[in-house]
Amino acid sequence: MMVENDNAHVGLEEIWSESGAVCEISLIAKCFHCIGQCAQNVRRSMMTSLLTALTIAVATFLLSIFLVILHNASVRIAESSSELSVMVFFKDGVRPDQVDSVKELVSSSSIPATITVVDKSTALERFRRSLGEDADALDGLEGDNPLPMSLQITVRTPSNVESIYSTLRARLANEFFVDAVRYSRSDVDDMRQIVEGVKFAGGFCLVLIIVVVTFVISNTIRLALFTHRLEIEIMRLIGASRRAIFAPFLLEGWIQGAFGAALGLVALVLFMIPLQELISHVEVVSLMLPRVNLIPIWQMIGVVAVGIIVGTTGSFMAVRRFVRNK
Amino acid sequence: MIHLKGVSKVYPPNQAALRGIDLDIGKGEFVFIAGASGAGKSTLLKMLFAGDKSSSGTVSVDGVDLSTLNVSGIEEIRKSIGVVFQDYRLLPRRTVLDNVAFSLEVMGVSKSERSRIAMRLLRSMGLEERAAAFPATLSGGEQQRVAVARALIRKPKVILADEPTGNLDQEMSRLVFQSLLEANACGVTVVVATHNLSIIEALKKRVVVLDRGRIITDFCDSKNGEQQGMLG
Repeated sequence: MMVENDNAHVGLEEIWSESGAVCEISLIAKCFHCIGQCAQNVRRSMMTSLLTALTIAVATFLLSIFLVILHNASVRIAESSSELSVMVFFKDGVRPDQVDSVKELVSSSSIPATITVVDKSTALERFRRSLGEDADALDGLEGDNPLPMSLQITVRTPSNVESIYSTLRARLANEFFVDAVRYSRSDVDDMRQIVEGVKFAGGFCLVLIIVVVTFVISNTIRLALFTHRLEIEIMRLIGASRRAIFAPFLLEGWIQGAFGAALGLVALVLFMIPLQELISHVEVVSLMLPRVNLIPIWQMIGVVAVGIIVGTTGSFMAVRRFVRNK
Repeated sequence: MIHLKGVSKVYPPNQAALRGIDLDIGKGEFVFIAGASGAGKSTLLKMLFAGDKSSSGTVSVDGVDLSTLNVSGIEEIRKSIGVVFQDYRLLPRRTVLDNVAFSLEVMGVSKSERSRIAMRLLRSMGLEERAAAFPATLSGGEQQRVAVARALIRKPKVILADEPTGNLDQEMSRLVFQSLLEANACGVTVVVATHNLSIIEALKKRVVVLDRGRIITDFCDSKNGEQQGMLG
């Protein structure tokens, strides 16, 4: 066998001197290369990229729904708390000085409160309003109004309600002109408990969703990486740094996460429009929940951040597993 | 350039691929690692590019003890090593030009620069007409020369070739070895694992013969008839 190698090394030396000269690359050039590589990866595995983004979209949509429930429940609690008041119901025939004595009792306490006298006709009017279209049922009661006269004591700080209620209940227990002392504690407490439950269960579900979605995404991305396995292997053989191998895939995960989360939020908005419509048409629901608000902007930013974290972590796990196995 | 001292490699459960290898390869040498299948040639090469760690002994390349390297150290040493495999391992969805330029691309060299350099290298190897082709459309010999070009583009200090002509006919093998000899003529240390006797015979380079993980002979003239028989 004859092998020719006359003077060929002269060409190689020249080529090496050129490649050596271009080997000092700026950080900006490396960043641009990383972005280009990422775009190429997305283009080459478009379906997998879309699948990943959709998985993130579904996860962030579920997360947003949970946040909407929590947000609206919190708003309702705040509203209910501001409406909290203690009611003192009088027996029929109560005298004005007896009513004044109760007023003085409230005023003498250090708790700031607004006292409103609700006479029998006002009470009937309020009841009529609360019945809405069914108010006709009360027609004819004006002459024989069964509703008692009362004092409505509204406190500014919800935590004071319990205190003023206890005081009045103790002091008025033996007063013959007082029928009952009440406040809507149970409703508010129930709602608080529900919100706490939703927060706890939701927090647990949220962690579960994030873990599952990260795992699913890492496997989805691993499928996409399968087409790049030889590329990664060659990169490792030529001494490419882990940063150079990881960066385009992490950027890809970042973009998929951001895009997926944005898609999830768009889905949420589109879901809320018919939901509002539905609520306004179902009377029972609209009484309990007159309106459903979207989550505040900072929570939306948080949802996008979660999407980005999940996408990037999924990518990292997939590449790391792949690189480790090679 | 390459020093192995008491290197052994045992794969679980208890399969010894290399047993107490002592070997020195100088800078700019061209060395064949010969031996039958399963003799330990590929394992030895794997040790040299830090693809695997030895069970015992030390492996050093260019003065660096590979067993002490962390991940970034391995990355660094691999920059000075070019590897060529029997199955070429070219990227199927990239053109010949892009395959050759790949290591420059990974470093972030601009497309125009890396294409220009890769094209010059392809021209010097007589492959410029295949620059725009995809690997699947090339003959085995052409693909292997592209793989050699990829290994050469960044001026490696060492080229490790594992059965580079295992799938090639005589003429194609000649062209592949021509490229390796050109690199060697420029001072690159070349280590080739092969059982291709005709190539070993033709090139008259140093031959290290392995048998069941041990070096059984190390000689410089492959025409020595007595030693030829050991190549199996």
